[in-house]
Amino acid sequence: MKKTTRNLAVAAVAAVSLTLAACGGSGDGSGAGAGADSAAEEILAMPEIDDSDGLVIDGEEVADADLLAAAREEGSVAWYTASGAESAEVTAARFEAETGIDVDMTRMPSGKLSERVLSEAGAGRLEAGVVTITDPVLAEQFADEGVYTPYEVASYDTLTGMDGVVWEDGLYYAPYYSAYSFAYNDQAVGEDDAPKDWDDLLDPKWKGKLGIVNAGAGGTVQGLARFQETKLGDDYWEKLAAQEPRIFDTTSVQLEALARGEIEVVTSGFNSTYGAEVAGAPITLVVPPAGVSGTYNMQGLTEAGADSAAAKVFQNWTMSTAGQKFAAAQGFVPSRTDTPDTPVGDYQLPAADSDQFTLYTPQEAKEIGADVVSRWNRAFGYSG
Amino acid sequence: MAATLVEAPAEGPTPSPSAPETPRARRSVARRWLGSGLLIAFLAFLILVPAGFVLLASMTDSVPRPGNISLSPTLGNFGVLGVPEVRQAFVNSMVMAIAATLLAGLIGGTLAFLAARTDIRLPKLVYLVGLMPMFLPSYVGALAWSMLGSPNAGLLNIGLRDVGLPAFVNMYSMPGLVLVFAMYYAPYTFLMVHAALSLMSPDLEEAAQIHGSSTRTMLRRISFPLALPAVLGSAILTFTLIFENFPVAQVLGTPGGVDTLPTFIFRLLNATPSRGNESAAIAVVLVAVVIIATTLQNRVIAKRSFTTVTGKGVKNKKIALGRWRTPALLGVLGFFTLSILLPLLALVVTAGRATPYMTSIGDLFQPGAFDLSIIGTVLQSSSFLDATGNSVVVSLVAATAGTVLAFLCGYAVYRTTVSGRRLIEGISMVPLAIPAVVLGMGLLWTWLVMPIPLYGTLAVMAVAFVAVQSPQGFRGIASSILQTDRDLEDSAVMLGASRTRAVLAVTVPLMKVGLLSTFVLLLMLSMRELTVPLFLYTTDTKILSIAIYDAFENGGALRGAAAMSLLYCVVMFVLSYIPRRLANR
Repeated sequence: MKKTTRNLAVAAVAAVSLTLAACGGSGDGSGAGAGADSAAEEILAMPEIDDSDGLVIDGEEVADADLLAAAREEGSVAWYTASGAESAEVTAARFEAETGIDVDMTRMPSGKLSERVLSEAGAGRLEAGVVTITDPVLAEQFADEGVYTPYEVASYDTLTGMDGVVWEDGLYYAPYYSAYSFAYNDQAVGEDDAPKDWDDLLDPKWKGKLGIVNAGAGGTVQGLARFQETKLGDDYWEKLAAQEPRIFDTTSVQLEALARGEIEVVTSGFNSTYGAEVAGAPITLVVPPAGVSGTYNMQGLTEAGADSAAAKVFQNWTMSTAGQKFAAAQGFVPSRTDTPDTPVGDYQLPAADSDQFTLYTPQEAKEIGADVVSRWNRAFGYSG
Repeated sequence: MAATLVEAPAEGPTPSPSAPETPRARRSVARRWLGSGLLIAFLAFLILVPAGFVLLASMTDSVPRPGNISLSPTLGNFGVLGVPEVRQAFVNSMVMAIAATLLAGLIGGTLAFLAARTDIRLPKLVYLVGLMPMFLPSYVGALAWSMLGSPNAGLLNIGLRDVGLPAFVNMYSMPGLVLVFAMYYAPYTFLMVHAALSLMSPDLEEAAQIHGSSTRTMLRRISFPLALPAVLGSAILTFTLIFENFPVAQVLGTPGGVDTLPTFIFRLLNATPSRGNESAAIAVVLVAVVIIATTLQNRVIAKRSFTTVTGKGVKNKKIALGRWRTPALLGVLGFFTLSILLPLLALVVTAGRATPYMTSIGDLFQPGAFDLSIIGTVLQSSSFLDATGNSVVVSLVAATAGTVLAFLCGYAVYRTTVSGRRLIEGISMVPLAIPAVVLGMGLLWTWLVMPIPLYGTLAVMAVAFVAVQSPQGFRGIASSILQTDRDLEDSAVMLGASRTRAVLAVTVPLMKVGLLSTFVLLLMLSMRELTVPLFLYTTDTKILSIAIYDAFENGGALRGAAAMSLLYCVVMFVLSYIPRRLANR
């Protein structure tokens, strides 16, 4: 039995090396990697980088000389993330460009990622040095089960003076928030007709032409649901449900339907929708005056990461102004309130400490999350 | 679960009934268990351990992760079955799977009959048309059909409006689901029934005709009944695969408000916190349904012999279609248009159009509106090339290993008197009953806990695919082995060949078509497999189906995803062509 599996492995390895040898001529790293590099550059111009004595980006030290040397010696950091694929890719490419350290990235949706991380950690085989998750409740579970290890990033003293950035004394951090608003198909809807604020979505002219993602699908949509009932009025759900929106399970399918004009207006995550717009989809986002809903992303070092200089540099960089600006340019709201205003293309999202930005806290998610979802399901006649 | 396709007719040497405990009898017991014991242990390791984790999850209050295995039993998870939405999802799943299975059987059976036994024009093309939907993973097929047939902006509806007709196509519905499932699962019936019909000995048919029966009577009384194991075997397979399919229901059902059990399981798994235990409880219901289906099937065809393949040259008579020759071909082409041509066109249009928004098909012909350079870009990207290499390697290894394993199991079950035959078959069929979303998790837990360092390699994917696809492999081999006469093999042994030599030199060549069909089936399934690798892949072992899923999941990359899907279909077509080409030599 053992022999069979070993033979299988040997056969697979042999065949892989053959295939790789056969594909060898097609140029290493000149494909998708290069595409992500140029995309990263397109999103935000490269900052000023000085690595003569440690790594200093835009005047802020990201790593001292020893850490940088050790990290470059190591060569790469293993990063597990639940961010959108495109965002994860450009972030990895940007980190590589700014630090000269490679990223070995594995991306999957929150639920699956947490299953993976907890299982691997339980078996003592978690190889990731850094884990990013888009759901604070899962991050807390990681903390409870010993997935995260405390680490003080280079900018630690600055961060401790800000609200909700450092968690459990540096066990994990909130690097940036996901913003949620709405968007429309700008070819199907003229600019004058387009919705400008949340209440416009209740206009009867959108009946049957709206798309939403069900509140149980993840932290961001749950946060949006809470934002709607607290900021837009107790009866907002009821009125929105009366518009008979098409309810999707995943944002991707919804965005695809929006791009084709199957539906004309959707409530949607800023980062992924902006990604679709940049990729050529006829979509325009709206930053509504009544506010934007925000949810936490959490990122921490694992035990393997605590032994890895590359993982530490990655965490330092994420929490540095350079890393924060890059997140902002992609359509996230940086958690560091001292990050200079960074436009997302033509849009400007409100800052984390602005009144226009409503955060769904991990506390709320834990205490009322299940209740929000079940009431939402009832209001929209949705089974889940 | 003792799920047997067909009781092997009681022939050959029967083991002596409970002989007294002499050393000789003990030796014979040992011998009877030796071969099967190894097989059973291997299958159990491959399949029962992951399944056991799922069962454990359904009956405990926490998900059985390594280092966190709870053994406190509870039945609370089954409370989820009482929720009205779950009952509605169950009804939807049943209606959808039964309707789609009937339609798939009708399409696949008809195509197989036309290709194998009639004088239809271009029989090779008909064969290809029957097989081709396999090259389009149902996930990609569903996405393509959502582009074609979504109620407002579907390409078909845009085209209808262009010519002044009402836009009536709505694939976001139960009929839409049934149609898409039937098209992409018809090849199962096609492959099995085609193998059965083309290997059928002409003796019985000739006898019928000599005794004066008409062609129609002969087909009804002889040919079709002889193909019954293949028809029923493929129907059970199709039913369960559709019943537990997740991606298609997700893409077409969810936007239309049609929930099925797998989409419900997915929702529970994706909920925060994940409700893995309750989803495992729903999985147990799926298992029950499959057991009932298989038992029913056994009742229908038990205790009958379907052996028809003999060593004599098979030269089947082709049935003249007469004036139906052309309409039959047109029907075949119509199916080809719906299952392959239109979806591929939709993918080409999606990959090529500068903006996804269209008000008229004519928009495509505006200058600058259509440009397929994205295909070249994808073709050169290292991520695409790596994923393709990984997919091909994993699929070839898994299909080869799967076919060998299925042959060993099939041979042990139908050709020997070793003990534990029913157990071998039963274990082989287990993965069919467990939805891939749940089994994927079981496999992840298993290979993380195992001391064998396979996790994180391509080999673990191959091992997982062999496990997941063992029912398909077993069914494929079983229908072929049941039809192959054993006399020739026995004659070789009587003439002095060893049993192994006889099997390799006589039985294997006789079963060439059946083995090859099984191999191609497993190869295509491995290339298409999406749900299970989703749990097992790591950055180094990303395969093509995952790369496409990722690209679609990432709303902005629609053009690239469509381009990659097109290339994916080409790779699958080439892969399936090579073994057939080799076999025809």
